[in-house]
Amino acid sequence: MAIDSMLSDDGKELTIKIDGRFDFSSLQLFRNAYENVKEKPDLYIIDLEGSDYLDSSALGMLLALRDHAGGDNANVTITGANPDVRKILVITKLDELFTVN
Amino acid sequence: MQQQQQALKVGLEQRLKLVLVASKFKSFEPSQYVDQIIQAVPELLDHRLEIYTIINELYNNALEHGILCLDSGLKATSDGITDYYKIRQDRINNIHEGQITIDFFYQPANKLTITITDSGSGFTAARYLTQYNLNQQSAPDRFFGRGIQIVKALTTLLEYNQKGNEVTAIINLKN
Repeated sequence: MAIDSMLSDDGKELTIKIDGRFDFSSLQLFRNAYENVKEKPDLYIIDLEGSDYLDSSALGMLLALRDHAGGDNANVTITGANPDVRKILVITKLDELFTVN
Repeated sequence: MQQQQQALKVGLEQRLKLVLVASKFKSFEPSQYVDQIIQAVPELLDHRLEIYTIINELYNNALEHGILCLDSGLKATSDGITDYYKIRQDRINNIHEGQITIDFFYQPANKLTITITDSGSGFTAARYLTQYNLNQQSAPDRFFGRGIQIVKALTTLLEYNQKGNEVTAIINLKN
């Protein structure tokens, strides 16, 4: 499990890349990835290409990020979700709260 | 009490029962148990992820609510989530009593029954949650009940007993 974050040069986009299983064991790393950014970016991109699985604890963490990013005004995109991860997002209707690419 | 495991072959049926005592909560990983299931019933390999999802979510519910009495209300904020998992770890480190039993029963060619029982006084929200998620109105950004919602979608039947300390999931696999 690893989490990398990258802020675009203009500071407007924050990409958080998650590798491996995504659950509460990576809670602190995940929070650090977006809370340590001085100014809130306009767009958050969660890259799950390297993550084969997430559970309900990870979904709670994604919602906490969305809340941090502005709740209903937040702009959070999930990319690279495999069919299994996508299925979990659809079951829980989180595909309505996040842009899923 | 020791952790017990038994795999009984009854005809072509397979049963894999795991009894976890309090001292094992610290080290138990649901994925290891699912690996044992796949080892015992290799034809379930294609269904590993859904079996893992069901056991992982239901086990965590039994542990967090049945045994550790954690309150999902904490999970409303980022700090609350951090507190929740900190308390979870503290309580696991200090617990001396309690037991969770996972019973996996496979009836060829496609029926699985997973029963998880905890020694707690009953997960009072269990029945409520089961009904709650049937309601299409439930807001997707709520902070609890998502595990049960996922499990419900993957199972043919999901039922708690009256007391709320035992949950049974029945899965009819599609091949």
